[in-house]
Amino acid sequence: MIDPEATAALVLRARQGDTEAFAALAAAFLRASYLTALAIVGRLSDAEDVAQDAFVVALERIGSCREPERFARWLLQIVRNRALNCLDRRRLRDVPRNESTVEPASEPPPVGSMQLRARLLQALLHVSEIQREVVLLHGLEEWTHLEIAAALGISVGMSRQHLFNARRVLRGRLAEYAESEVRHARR
Amino acid sequence: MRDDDKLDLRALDPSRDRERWRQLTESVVQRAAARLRPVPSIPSQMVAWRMPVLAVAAALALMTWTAIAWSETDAGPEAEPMYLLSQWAARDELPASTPQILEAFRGHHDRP
Repeated sequence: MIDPEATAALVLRARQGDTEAFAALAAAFLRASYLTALAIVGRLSDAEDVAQDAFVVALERIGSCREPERFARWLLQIVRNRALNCLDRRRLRDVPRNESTVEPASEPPPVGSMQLRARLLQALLHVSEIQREVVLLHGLEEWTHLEIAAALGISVGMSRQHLFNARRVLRGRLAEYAESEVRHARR
Repeated sequence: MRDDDKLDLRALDPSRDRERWRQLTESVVQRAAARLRPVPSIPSQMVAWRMPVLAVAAALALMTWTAIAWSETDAGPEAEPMYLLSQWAARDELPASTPQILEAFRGHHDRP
């Protein structure tokens, strides 16, 4: 993550309508938005839509970001709200299939070309939403615990604990899926 | 509490397809920029349009002045009674009849 001072400078430029600052903020924070959305909605396509919409809304309302140096926290709150709205819409639209998307399935995910991605998504359903956010932001965005704690409004110790617990559960689930696959292949 | 054995989450990384991610990022920036393009205020629009408005006003004034000047000269001096009288006098003529004189002066007196 870029440092808070640089972020604040970009936010101030973006407030003046500087599109280069928009681009720099998007380059720095769009993926984090996507990962936060994915932690909540659990579907790649929905996460992409939510992240894009939330980012556009954030840039549109950037004048209301009162603490530019804490832009990440402000942005991710917008992402979270829109992701929850997305879940609500999905529940209304997609009642029969809802159970299989928000609850972990008892069966291992199917093997195939998207095997690893499907496995990871399925395994992530076995940890809490905040743990998913921490594990994704730490694992893919490579944010430090300090940065995660600041962005999610939790303590550094809690961030570490979430990561530790999430990794333990995820490893267990991924190992189960692998064993299940081996058993399936032997049949 | 240490857990340094990182999980490989790269399969979930949206930026693995760099070109697609670049397009997505650009699309977000363009959408935001389009929404934030400022709507000009009425005073600023007036300032922006002042030169064309002045040019149109000047053209209209010129056209009006030309039209008035043209209409004033359109009748010509031949229509003026004094001109007619002076012509008659110069040619040592007399008007053919009283009605001819009255006709020449009527138009002059009818004017407001």
